[in-house]
Amino acid sequence: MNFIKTFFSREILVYSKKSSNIISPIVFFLICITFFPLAVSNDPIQLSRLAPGLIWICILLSGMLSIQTIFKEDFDDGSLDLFYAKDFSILQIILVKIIVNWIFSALPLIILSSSMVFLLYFPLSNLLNLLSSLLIGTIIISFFGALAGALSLGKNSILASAIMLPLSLPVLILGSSASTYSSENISFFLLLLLSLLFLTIPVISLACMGAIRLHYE
Amino acid sequence: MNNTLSSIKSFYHKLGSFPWFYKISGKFIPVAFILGFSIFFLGIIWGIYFSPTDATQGEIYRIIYLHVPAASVAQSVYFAMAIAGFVYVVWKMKMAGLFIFAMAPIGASFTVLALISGAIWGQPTWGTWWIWDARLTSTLVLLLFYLVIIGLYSSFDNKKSADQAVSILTMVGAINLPIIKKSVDWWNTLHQPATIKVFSESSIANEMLYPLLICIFSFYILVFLFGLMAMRAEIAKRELNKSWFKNLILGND
Amino acid sequence: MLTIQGLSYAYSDRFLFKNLSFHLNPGEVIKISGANGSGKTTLIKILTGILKNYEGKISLKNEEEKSLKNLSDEVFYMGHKNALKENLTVQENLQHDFRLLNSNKNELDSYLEKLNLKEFLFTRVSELSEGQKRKIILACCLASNSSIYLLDEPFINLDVDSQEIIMEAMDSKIHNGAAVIFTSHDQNIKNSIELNLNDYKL
Repeated sequence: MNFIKTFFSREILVYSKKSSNIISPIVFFLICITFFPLAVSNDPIQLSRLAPGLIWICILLSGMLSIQTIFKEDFDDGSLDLFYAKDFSILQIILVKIIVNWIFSALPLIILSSSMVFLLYFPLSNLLNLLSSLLIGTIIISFFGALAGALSLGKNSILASAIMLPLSLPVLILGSSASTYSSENISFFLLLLLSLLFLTIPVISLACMGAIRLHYE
Repeated sequence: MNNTLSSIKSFYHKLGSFPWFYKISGKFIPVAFILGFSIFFLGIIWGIYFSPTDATQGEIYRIIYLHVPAASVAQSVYFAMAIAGFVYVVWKMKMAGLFIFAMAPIGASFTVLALISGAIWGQPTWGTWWIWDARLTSTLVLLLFYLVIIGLYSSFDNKKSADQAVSILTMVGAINLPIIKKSVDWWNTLHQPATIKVFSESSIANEMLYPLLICIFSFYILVFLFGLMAMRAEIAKRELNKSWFKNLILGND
Repeated sequence: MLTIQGLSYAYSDRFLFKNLSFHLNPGEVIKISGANGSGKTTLIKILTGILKNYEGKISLKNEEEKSLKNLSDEVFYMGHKNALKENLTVQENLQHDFRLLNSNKNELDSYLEKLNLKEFLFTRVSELSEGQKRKIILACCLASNSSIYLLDEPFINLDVDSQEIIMEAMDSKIHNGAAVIFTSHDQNIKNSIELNLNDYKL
């Protein structure tokens, strides 16, 4: 428990040192959102219909950029070597890193999505559905992104995005559906998302452990 | 009992050995070539010339003799790769890693064939080249998974790490694909798309079914053939400087 | 106390070294030398347990251990890379550093002072020179109470004064029973046994 606390405070410290860690996801998200009224249509009725999907797409893209590098820094500067040498639980390290990254990049965006009621004319009645689906969905996306980052450690390429995005398709579909429909169907989609979450966490954590380790063969 | 156990063990060890595989595959390839292509021609000629015309779709339906086998093979190859991935991660068998590397491009090609033949079928029959239903979408995503696996493998210098990475990704993808298919299904039932019900599950007449089954069977043999050839080529590439390989090639000349 | 028998390591179907065997007793120093790429860093990583695909036996105190991981509290590892977070200050790094679990804060302070690092306590690591970053890790090394030290290129980028201080401190540790394995191209700790990896190539 002590280790988790120390590691958690270390991660928070590292993240908070760079203001770009909080600002960049927010800016990217807002810019992406702005693309649609500017390039597609600024008709309130159309935007209102498209809004759930658009929000989910921009959240997914923004998450894609911020999660892929969670292991990169520690791998490059030798900290990961040290963790292996000291026989620390890589599982705990992975989980803490994903949580801290989620707090800094996904959580602000979830809160910011509420503003889409104004910007994209998102129907207020569905706001709670949107936020709850985002809450669960962004965690699942973070796990897939962590796996993608772990597999492509040490390689500067767009490969990590190519890995993460197809895997995130179910979350996109379910989350967008959850945000579109009124309360009768919502529990169905949220339940599906939750079960996807409970499936993802153990399987992908295991996969991440194997994926990081393979760079040490 | 002990005999069977030890023979299973020795088969398992042989399966993991490159020289044994290289020699055995050399014998299988001509057989598979003749068998695969002859059955394929049998099926396709029967399907194109001798099976009846469809009541609603006319002659164009005959593309299913390419499309259905291709789609079936594309999916099966992926799940075979996923099993090989599991074998690699648990038992570190080099052959399993080689299998994934060799089969990925083959699976990808058949997926492309399935998509294109499906589009050719769709246009005259239902008036559209493409529709975002569960089956087509998940076939497209299957192609993406294949391409990502090929890309991931090529990004590694160390073959062992490459095999491990690709094994993990294939397994994760194998769990993900059915989930994607199901979610698109739910999405569609809610949206109730246009009245087009693509690939309706109408029963197929026997005279059309038999050539179809023959074509499917032949595709599996052909995939087996291409797989053997691809694995053989990769073994040759990797073991070029090993003495067993040199002896084999020079000995046969 | 530490016995290596028949250690071989292959990378990409090419053996780095084969059939390496040696003993390490408390108070002994082994210097691993060899040409570039002969596997010095790899050997240290194997001993710490970072790399696992080796053949051979590593045993500790006559019981076979897979690596020194089980004793990880008593082993100090200084790798080729610094494992310092560049964006944090020296102070913040030291507060969260996992190499300091077994060390004395006062000793750490005194070594930081001796190595002229006290004034940089609140500077970002990214603003220090390579030698200064190395010195921080060495200060942690000297302040720790481990029984085995695995040091990869500890003396690189060091100025002469610092080298003397560190050699002296390591000497006294060795006198008190610590065992050291280090890699280096030229520098030497007194009374070290040389192990040249070139002798173990195929």
